[in-house]
Parts: sequence; C-alpha cells; structure tokens
Amino acid sequence: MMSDCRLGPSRRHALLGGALAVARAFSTAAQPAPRATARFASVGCRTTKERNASGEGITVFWVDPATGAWSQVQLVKDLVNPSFLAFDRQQRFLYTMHDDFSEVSAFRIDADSGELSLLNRQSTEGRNPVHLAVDESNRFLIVANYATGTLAVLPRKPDGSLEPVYQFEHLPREPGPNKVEQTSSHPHQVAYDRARRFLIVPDKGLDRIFCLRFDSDQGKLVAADAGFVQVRPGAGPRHITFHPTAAFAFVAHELDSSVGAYRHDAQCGAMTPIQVIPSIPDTFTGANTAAEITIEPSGGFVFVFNRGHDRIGTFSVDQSSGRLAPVSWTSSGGKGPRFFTLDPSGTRLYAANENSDTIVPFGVDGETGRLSLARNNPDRQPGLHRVLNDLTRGGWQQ
Amino acid sequence: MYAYVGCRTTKERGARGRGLEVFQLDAQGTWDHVQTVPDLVNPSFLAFGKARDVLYTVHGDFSEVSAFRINSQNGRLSALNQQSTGGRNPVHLATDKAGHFLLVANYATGTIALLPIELDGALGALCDLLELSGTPGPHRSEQKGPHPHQVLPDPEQRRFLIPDKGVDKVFIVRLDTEARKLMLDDALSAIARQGAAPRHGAFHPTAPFVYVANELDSTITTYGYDGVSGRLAAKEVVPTLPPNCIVTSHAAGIQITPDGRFVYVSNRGHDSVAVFAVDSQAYTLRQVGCAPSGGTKPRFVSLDPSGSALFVANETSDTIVPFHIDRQTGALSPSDHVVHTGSPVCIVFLDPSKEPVSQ
Repeated sequence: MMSDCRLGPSRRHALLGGALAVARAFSTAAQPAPRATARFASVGCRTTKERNASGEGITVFWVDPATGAWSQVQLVKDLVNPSFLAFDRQQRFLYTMHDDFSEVSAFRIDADSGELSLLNRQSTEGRNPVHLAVDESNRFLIVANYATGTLAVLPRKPDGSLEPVYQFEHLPREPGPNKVEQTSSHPHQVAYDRARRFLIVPDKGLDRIFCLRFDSDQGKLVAADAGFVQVRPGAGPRHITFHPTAAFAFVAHELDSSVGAYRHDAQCGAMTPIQVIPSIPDTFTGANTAAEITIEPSGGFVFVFNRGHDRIGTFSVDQSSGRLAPVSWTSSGGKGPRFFTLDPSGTRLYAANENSDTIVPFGVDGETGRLSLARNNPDRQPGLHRVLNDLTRGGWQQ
Repeated sequence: MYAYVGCRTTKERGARGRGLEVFQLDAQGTWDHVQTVPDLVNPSFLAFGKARDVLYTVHGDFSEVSAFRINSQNGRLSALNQQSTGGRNPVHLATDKAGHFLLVANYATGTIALLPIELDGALGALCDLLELSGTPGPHRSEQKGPHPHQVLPDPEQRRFLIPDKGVDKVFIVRLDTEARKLMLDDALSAIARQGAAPRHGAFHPTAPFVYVANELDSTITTYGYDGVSGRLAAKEVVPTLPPNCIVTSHAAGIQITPDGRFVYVSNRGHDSVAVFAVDSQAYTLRQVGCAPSGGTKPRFVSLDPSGSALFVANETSDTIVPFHIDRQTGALSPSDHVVHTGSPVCIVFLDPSKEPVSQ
C-alpha cells in the first residue's frame, strides 16, 4: 500500500485497503484515462474467530471509473486472515500475509478481469506477519513478522511465485515500557521511502524507527548508517508516510496516540524528529490508539486514523518546517477504523472500519483537507452503498 | 516568611540533601538559612496542621511520618513525634478539615493511612489503613500495582481525591470521623487513560474543576467536579509538553494561581515548566508558554502565598529557582535568587504574621 503512494502520478493505479487489509486496484498503463483511477480494488479481510472476524478472504472489486461504484469480481476463499497486500513492481502479482500465522501467499492477477489465482504459499519463518514490500529489483519480497520481531526476505521467481525465506533479520533490543503491547520487537511496517533507497521500519515494540537498505544484488537487508531513531518510551511507532516532494516523513505512534513529524534525509536515510503532537483532539478523553497514516498526494495534508475516537484526524503540513497542525476530525463512519487508503488521484479516501464491517468512501478536498462522506453524493458514487451492504451481508468483518 | 524544604537524603535516591531545611525569606526574595533538621531520612512532602503551628513530613521510601512544632518567633522546628504509616514509601499527606486527622498515601503498598492528630499536634497511632485496588496500568516498571501519589482534599473538604499512578485512576475517599475510618466509593473513581498515571491534582480556587497531571503520558486532564456527589467528569486532556519537545519526559508538580487564571506543570526530562491559561468560561487549559526550569528534574513546583512567584525544585541540580509571574500573561521569568540546597523535593511557605492564632 505504501508503495502505491510512492509511484509517480502516471503509474499510480492502486489504492485502498480494508481493515487490517489492503484493498488495491490496478489498471493497464495503456488505458487512456483523464486521471489515474483504480480499476480494481482488493480487500484483505480477517477470517478467524480469535480476531472476532467473519471475513471470508480476499474480495476483488471492479471499480467503475465513471461512477466510482464497486462491484464484486471475485471472492478468494480458503485463506486465513489475509490482511496487508502488496503488488510486485509491475502490478502483475499480488502478495498477502496471513495475520497471526506464519505464511505469505502469492497470486497472479488477470489483467483483464482482475481475478486472482493462487500461485503458492511460503512460510515467513516468524509469527504474525503484518506488512510486506517488494524490493526495487522486483526479485524479492520483504515481510515484517510482528510477533517474533523479525524481517524475512523471500526471493520471487519470474512467474511470481515465492521461494523459501532466504534471509532473516532480527531486531533485538530492550522493548518499550508497555508490558502488554511491547513484549519484544514488533516491526509493524516495511516502507520504502520515496526514492526507494531506504526501507523504514517502525518498530512498535522497541519504540524505534529503523532505517535499513536492501541490497538487491545480494538479496540482503543491511543496516543503513543512519541506524534508527528512538521514539518516546511507550509511543509504539506503527506506520509511516512520506511527503511527496519535501524531506519530511510522518509516523503514527500507536500507543500514545501521537504523530511524529520527522525530517527524512533521502541521501543517508536518517530520520530526525521535528515535532510530536496528539493524534486526537484534547476534548476527547477516552481510550484511543493511532492506526493508519497517509499523506494527500500534494503533500498538503496528513490523515491519521484513530481507533477509539473513531475519527480521521486531518493535519495541515507546513511546507517549509514540516510541522503539522490539526485541521479537522471526521467520523470514520464506523467503529474500529484500522486502515484507510487514498485512491490514486488522492481525491477519494476509503476508510475500513474493522468493527462495523464497512468501507466508507470520503471525498477529499485537496485545498482544505476536508473529508466529506462520498455516499452522501449519489451522483458521484452510485452503487457504492449497495456494495457496502453486500460487504456487510457477506460478513466482511465483525 | 519562612520556607520549609524537604530534601531527600539517601544514596538509593542518589540524594545529596541533609534533611529538612528551614529558610527565612526577606522582602527582596533572599533566602536565609535558618535551620537544618538533621537525622531525618528522606523528608519529602510536607503539610501544616490546621493551626499551622505544626509541620508534618513523610519519609520517602520508608514507612514513617514525623510531626514538628513550629516556633512562630523564629520559624525553627522541634520534633514532636513519629508514627508508622502502615505501608511503604509514603509520598504525600494532608489533614482533614477539622485538623483532627492526617491522611498519608503509601505509594509502594497502595494504601491510604489514617492517623489521629492529638491536641498538641503530635500524631497518634495509625487508626485505619485503606487498601486501594485496580488493574495495574500497562507500564512494566512504574505500574505494578496501586500507587496513590497524592491526598488532595476537595474545596469543601468533604472528600479527598487520590490520583493513583499505578492503576490509572483517581479515587474518591471520604473520612468518617466518628468511626475513624476511610471510605472508598469505587463507583466514583475516575478512569484515566491506560498508562497515563495520574500523579498530582490542583483544584480551581473558585470554579468546580480540578486539573490532574498525568505523569507517564505527560498530560493534564481537566475534570469537572461535583462537590455534592463527588463525581468527576473528564472534559479534556492536554499535553504538558510543547509540540517541539521530542525527548522523554514525565509530568510532576502542578499548581494553580490563587486567582485561578494560570496553571503550571513541571516536566522532568524536558526540564521545563509549562504555562497554561485557564479559560474564564470553560475552565479548560491552553498552553501559552513553557519555561526552562533552570535545572534538571524539576520534581516539584510551589507558588508563594501571594501567587506572584513560582518556586521550582530541581531535584538533581540541587536548586530552587524562583520565577516571577506576570499577572497578565502568566509568563515566567527566572530571578537571580537561586537557592542551593541538596535534592529538594517539596517546599511549603509560612507567614506567621498572617497565620491564624493557634489555639
């Protein structure tokens, strides 16, 4: 998902995600389009009782480029907790890990129909893989194993299938102070920076953000000279988003509901903190954790998902200092907002509410950063309501 | 005017204090040393008796509380007696309205001790020990069990608020003077955010609001307080650290000016004092400044009785730094009259010329 954000505008096809899942779409580069619009959306849905889930697998939708309406193309069943999704560099293959377990699956994508066909499955050699990325050379897949605190590298074959784990990187260190959520290293994301030179790994367990390089010749992860940046104890850094043009990055700190603004040096990978601000307004006094974070394609606004407050925080970005200022708080339209994603044009934001089984679309005002419920605008989104109802009926997520 | 300063003494606390220090303040703000009460182990938080002719101190990390008589002529202290608090690491204390009882928070063992005060101000033996309970917060080392950090009488002195750092609650306790017992109504307890670690609170002088500094997540919660029912209602949570602060820091002391317009909170780590303006309508807080504390680890802040100066005790740099308060803006400006004393952790002021005549 993060990689989608980093694709140049001409190549940006894909987008969205589901609760603990990524939905995404793709189109062929040859297709003429007035603006980059996703053609297909894939939604990973948790399936296990342990996660109180009633999803059935990966659902593929066709997204009507004219109306934005979704219609189901395929339901890939017999998958356990498929969650975050990633493409290969050409968007011909799709990969998902299986949350709470130890596997990653590879699928071929039919470019015309959008349908997925399973290629193979490999062990990630660690528990609870939560995020994944394909390297710059398109020959390796890198997976973050949350529970066991490791990063695994799996070679990709030319046919898109995966080979067994090739390299394995531990992130050992004294964990943060939260005895429940920080029992060990918990890498939560493997995110390439904009230049795809460095892999930034927020580690929720260690309160650290690691900076790594991937050596595609050797097929190996190596520590970058920049090393890591230490975050406040108990902050629990979870996900990162990079400014499209300026040298800034923004990190959602899950456990203390804050957002860190960082200067990100594209040359050496170093992350230097600039600011820490709450992800929630001061008038909210209840429990909350910060989940997802993303930046609007122009870099003017950062969106943060708050679970508990159940609102999306919009923050304006000062383009010279990189500092954030809260602008508005928009209801996510459901409970337990875990994931959201912008469509390739950046004009629509899809919010996945894990606990209320909904994906709610919002229109994004690029000038003000304001989010408006797109479903209130039937002219723009006919059919979407129906699709969401279908999702709910299908027991997408409990 | 006299200032009494509790100073930690033990090696375990890395302390350099010598005991209880007594100073006399002149009109120019100079502190003259009057007395060191020696042979006291970690005298820390201090409280006056009702007639303000007796001073009580807890002995941090240990299990005792001591009483001293104050000589109103020269401010000097003479020991009255010492009692057990029935628990470990007493950290805070307060008397009841009538001045007949002393309540002590035993931090390590999660209890509130009740001791009767005798006619001469000496302490009687423990007459009740209230056990607090709750699910410990998520912090591995700081939240292993209930850790009451303060005994804060409400303005009517009907009840006491007990911010509990260990279980992320503010307990509400009532004193039954007839039965000589403390009563806890857990249904009134305010639940703080997980890991927030409520530490110290301060009541607004006139409006029904209380501001509680949460130590571990460096925030202040503004609560509405219904003095009749004893119910707290959280209104807002604001950070004590300015957004450009990226270091590890923990909130510590909190004070509100006598006019109710400004709140001050010290930040240990950031080593600063955050300044908040109190909204005159909503009584919510807005951070309007943040002054360096002039030292390291500002564990405690105290206003002088007039509310025109704030004194910051920097525990690890052995200084008390006085700040002048701008009455209009609340801004702090440090004065030159820095007081050097080992490991200061609490300061209370006494102006005998303005004290009620003792019985």
